[in-house]
Amino acid sequence: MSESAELKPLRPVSRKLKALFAATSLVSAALSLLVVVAAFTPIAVYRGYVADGTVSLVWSSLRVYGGPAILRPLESLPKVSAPLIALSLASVILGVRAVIGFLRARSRGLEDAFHGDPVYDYLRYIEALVLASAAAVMSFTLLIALVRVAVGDILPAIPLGGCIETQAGRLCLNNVEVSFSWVYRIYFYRGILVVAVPTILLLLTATTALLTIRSLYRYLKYVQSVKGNASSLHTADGAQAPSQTG
Amino acid sequence: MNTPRGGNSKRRLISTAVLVLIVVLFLGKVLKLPVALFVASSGSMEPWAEAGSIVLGVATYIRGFGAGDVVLWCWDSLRTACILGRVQTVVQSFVTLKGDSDPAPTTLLDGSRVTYVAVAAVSPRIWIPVFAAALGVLAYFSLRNRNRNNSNNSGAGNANNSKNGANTNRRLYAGFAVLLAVNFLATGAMYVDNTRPFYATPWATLSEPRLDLERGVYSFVVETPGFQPLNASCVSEGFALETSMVSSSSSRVAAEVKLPRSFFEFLWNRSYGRALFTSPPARIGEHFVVECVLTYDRGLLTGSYVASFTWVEPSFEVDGSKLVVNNSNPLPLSLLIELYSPRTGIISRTVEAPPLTVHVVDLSQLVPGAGVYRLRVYYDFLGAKRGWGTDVRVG
Repeated sequence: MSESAELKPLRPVSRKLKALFAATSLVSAALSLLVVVAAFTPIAVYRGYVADGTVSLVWSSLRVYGGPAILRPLESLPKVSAPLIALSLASVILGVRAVIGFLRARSRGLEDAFHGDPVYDYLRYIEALVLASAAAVMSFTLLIALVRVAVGDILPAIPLGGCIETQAGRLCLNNVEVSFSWVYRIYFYRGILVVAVPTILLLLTATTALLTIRSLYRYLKYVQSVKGNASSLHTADGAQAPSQTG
Repeated sequence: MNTPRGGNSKRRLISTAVLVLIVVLFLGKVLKLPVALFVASSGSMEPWAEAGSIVLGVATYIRGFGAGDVVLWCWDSLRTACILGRVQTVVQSFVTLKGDSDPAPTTLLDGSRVTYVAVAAVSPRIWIPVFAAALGVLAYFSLRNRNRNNSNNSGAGNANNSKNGANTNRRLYAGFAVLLAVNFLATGAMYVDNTRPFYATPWATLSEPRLDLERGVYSFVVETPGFQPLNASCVSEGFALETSMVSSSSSRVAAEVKLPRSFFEFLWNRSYGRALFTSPPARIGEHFVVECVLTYDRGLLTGSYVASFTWVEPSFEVDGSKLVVNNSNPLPLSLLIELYSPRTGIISRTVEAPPLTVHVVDLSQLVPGAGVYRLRVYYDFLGAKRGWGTDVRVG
């Protein structure tokens, strides 16, 4: 009777690790998606005679004193936001692809492990996750910068009411009703957001990558040790082959 | 064997060199390089540079600038907040710029912050299709190489699957790296246009201000395009005045402010004493301020309008046995008429001359009989006690 190595089969990654990977990918994708949504969400909506319209990062339409206004900073915002949106969408796609690929990756059997290398399949998606997270962090930081410009520099230049001296006297206009969205409020928390969010995401990504790589490393060791045992077993079986078949 | 490889590496070298050059040029604005490419982020310089055009700039430390040159002026050191405009004037170290499609120039700007002189611009209608075509060509050659690799490896089985997966990953990362680079370059090559906003402010004009003493009314017309008048109220010298409004059109309103007698009495009392030390016939200028608030659907117009008239000392003349009194003031004038003859003695009557009238007093009604009388008329004009007299034959 041949002696075979009784080894417990080991998975490259555990279910918990897959769940962590999925969560990290989804957080990264969600952050990028949030950036895209923030870019399209109106920062401020004006209703009144003095100012009427909406201002967002990708599109603004504003009438001032009942007529068209030339607001060059508002014309610049969509152009500066275009690369941000492209990067965020790419990050979302990469993040989703990473999680789908990682969850679909199957550990190859012991036989397949001799011929292929199941670790690479997982490593691909770890790299994709790291890239997606890095891109999400970059696009979030860029979003914070654009919101700072929009809220801190551009919006204050839009008149909200007040009085105008005319030949017939002082014309005091009714105040504009302004409503601000959550994107506007990002400006007031930008200091903590620009530090906390990237830190959290990068830590999460780094932890996920590290744990996954360690798990894959252990699996590699296991595969190599099984391969070593199988080689020595093969040599021993080779000598006993005639009696087994006989 | 060597020629195709040599050809490929030469192509790769050229394309890498071109890529590096473009990257360096796009980073020029941030790095203060002698030559830079940047993106016109607004339409301020249309039609010379449309919004989204790639502009080639030469640093001002290489090339100077003057009136008529298109320059990039940035107020921050990272050149993220800039103005692309044509130089209008250069005064010592200050410049004024104006975008070709802007209605007005900027205020004086610090000339030392002019960083680049724009020498050429490529419209987005040209560079975007070229860029897309270049990406397409790149993708085509990349796919062609992948297909060649796949057909070469078709019989290799599982052993090469991971390698193909790794190649796919590398292409994916290359694409992502390109996107990151484009992002970086785009944000570095762009700026937020800091040109001040241009918009037309509403206006209001006052016309036809008129003081009608006969009617005791001050009227005026206010034109305020785009504003619907609702009501008006006026005060003057502490008097709340009855104000009516007539709109001849949606933007033009005529207002009438009634001035009661008590108001003119107040003015009279205020000017009392000003006629002292003046020679008859005295003319004393008077003015008052009417403060009005016109309420519109979109706001309030508050104006102070000055009205003026002249207190005129009354004039007298005798026509037969009639005394003609010309009172051109907005208040009645009290007259003490005295007629004297040796036979009758002094006959005196107090008569009131109505405002703004030529009043006729029949002297024959005041005396008992015909004769020659000495006529004296006494009155108070703004504190000056005056008298006028003549001989009159009554009857």
